[in-house]
Amino acid sequence: MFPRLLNAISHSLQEQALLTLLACNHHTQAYGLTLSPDDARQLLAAREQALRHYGRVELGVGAAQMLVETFVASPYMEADSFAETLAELLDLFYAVKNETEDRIGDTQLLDEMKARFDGECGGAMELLRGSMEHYASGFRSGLLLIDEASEGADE
Amino acid sequence: MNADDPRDWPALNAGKYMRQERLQQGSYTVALLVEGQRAGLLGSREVYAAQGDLLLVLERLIRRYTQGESSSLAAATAESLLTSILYATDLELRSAGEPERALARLRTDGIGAIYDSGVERVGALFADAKRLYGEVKRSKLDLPVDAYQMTIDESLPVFMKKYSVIFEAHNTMASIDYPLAADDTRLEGVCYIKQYLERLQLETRFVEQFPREDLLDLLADYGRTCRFDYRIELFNVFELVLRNALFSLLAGGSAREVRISPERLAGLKLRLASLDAAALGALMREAIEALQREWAIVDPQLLAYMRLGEVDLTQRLHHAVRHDSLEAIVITAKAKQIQPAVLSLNVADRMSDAQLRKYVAQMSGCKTTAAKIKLIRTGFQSLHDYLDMLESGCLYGDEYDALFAAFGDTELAVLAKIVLYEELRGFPGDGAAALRSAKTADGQWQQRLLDYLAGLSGRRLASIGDCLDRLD
Repeated sequence: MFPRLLNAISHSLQEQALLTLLACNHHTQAYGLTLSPDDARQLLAAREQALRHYGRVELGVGAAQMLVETFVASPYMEADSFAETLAELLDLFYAVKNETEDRIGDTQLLDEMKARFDGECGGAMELLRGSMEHYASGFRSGLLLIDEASEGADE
Repeated sequence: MNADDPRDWPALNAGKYMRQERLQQGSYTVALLVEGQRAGLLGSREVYAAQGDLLLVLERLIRRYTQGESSSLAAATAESLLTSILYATDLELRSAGEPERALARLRTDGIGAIYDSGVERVGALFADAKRLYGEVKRSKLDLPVDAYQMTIDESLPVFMKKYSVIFEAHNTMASIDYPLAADDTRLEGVCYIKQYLERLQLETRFVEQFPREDLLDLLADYGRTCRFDYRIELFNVFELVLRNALFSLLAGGSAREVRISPERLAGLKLRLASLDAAALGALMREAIEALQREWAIVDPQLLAYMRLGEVDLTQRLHHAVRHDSLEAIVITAKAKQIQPAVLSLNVADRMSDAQLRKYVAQMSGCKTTAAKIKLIRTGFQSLHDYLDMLESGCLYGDEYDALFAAFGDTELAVLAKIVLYEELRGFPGDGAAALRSAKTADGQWQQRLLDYLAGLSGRRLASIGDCLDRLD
């Protein structure tokens, strides 16, 4: 029942999702970056694949929309590889959501990714992956301490 | 048209019916949609709209769950949220009565409103469960059965604390160890816990009418019959008490007695030997009715609950009569158990951690084995302290033998019972044989004990085995 329901909603929202992503162009054009309808479709396909790969569910394309709006201001974003970079960033975003056990909000995570992408990683995706892995590991250690303290308080 | 009146349902009037058996599996809401469509009572557009409504509720819940901070979540979490939604809608739709009536509510109210009412219903059940838990806790039996005590003191509070009406309505949360005499494990979430508490309360009301001393004696007899420590085993006290009260009646005694002498068991055997399954069933029915009369039980729920185990008990009785093994289900009174002369089994006699540390430190300062053993024998009284000391590894080599040599038969039997707890079941009534066959054990002091026992004479071993058989 559950996959059937989600597939149904996924298909019914496909057109709406495309329009939502294309509407981002109003904002990105100021930076000389745009998503063509084909780019948007590719990004949606990459999103679906990432969601499936990481075992996640998303109603709507809120994360992709926020990702575009956050990263468009990065000095390392280039028109030629805009859609491709966004797809890789979105994949990493969902991976880190899993790694941080859904305990970190979308905005906070995207800000963290953007700061590292623009800063220590100099726009290199490989470096960002390693950096975010380190970040997730540190975040989980913090969570462990919090959970232990909370269990201690319960007892 | 009146949606509540089945006579006004065109599909029903046209002879379209849902099949009950197809509504039994999985979510009732989903089954209603699927079966309603199959029977022609719902159109595909109506089913699609209902699915859409369900997703709107899910979306609302996801937003609430992530507190608006995340647009996605793990599929397992989303699935759990959907299961929680369906738990509430299932409960609400089942309360409508006949499936056709539930379907009418689906059409007129829609999933969203049904879900909201369902959540209120789950909340009300949770409130009932909390009240019931308070009552069960207040009337808790003062019996040393760990699973019973821990379920009430530790497991059920976990449920009361962690249960989430909105996000995890379907989750039973707590791990309930104490088995009921009759349990409907198909239930989940608060429905299961409420049923569990209601039945536990019924069981308690019955058992608490018997004198505590009689119950403790019955438990000890039961442990001895099954060759296990009843304190730590999983069994149902109500079932045990009810069964023995019934057998007491059948043996010519009163339903207020739960202790049956071996002589009366012999008489019961003679009485039942020639009866077939039907006659035994009739006898059991009569016994339950006689018990209810004698105890003046009028609570219809308790009356019905007592009957739930009737068929099973009759089958077991028939089997026992056929195989002349009635003593396995009729617990007879045994002689009082012996208590160790030196070791105290009372937890209250246990020394504090600081005291224990002090003794262990003093022991390491002893220059001779004799001095060490003397310090142990004068300082340690509680079995629990002895076990802590043995586990701490502060004895070396021959010091183990010297300590065991200072013990009498009963003390050695107590330690052997701990080491050979599982093995003893294989030697009913023959502790000495268990001692003779035991060769290896996990742990240093345990192995040292077996080695020491192996070096004793056959006569001494028989004496320790005899103590072992009579130990509580």
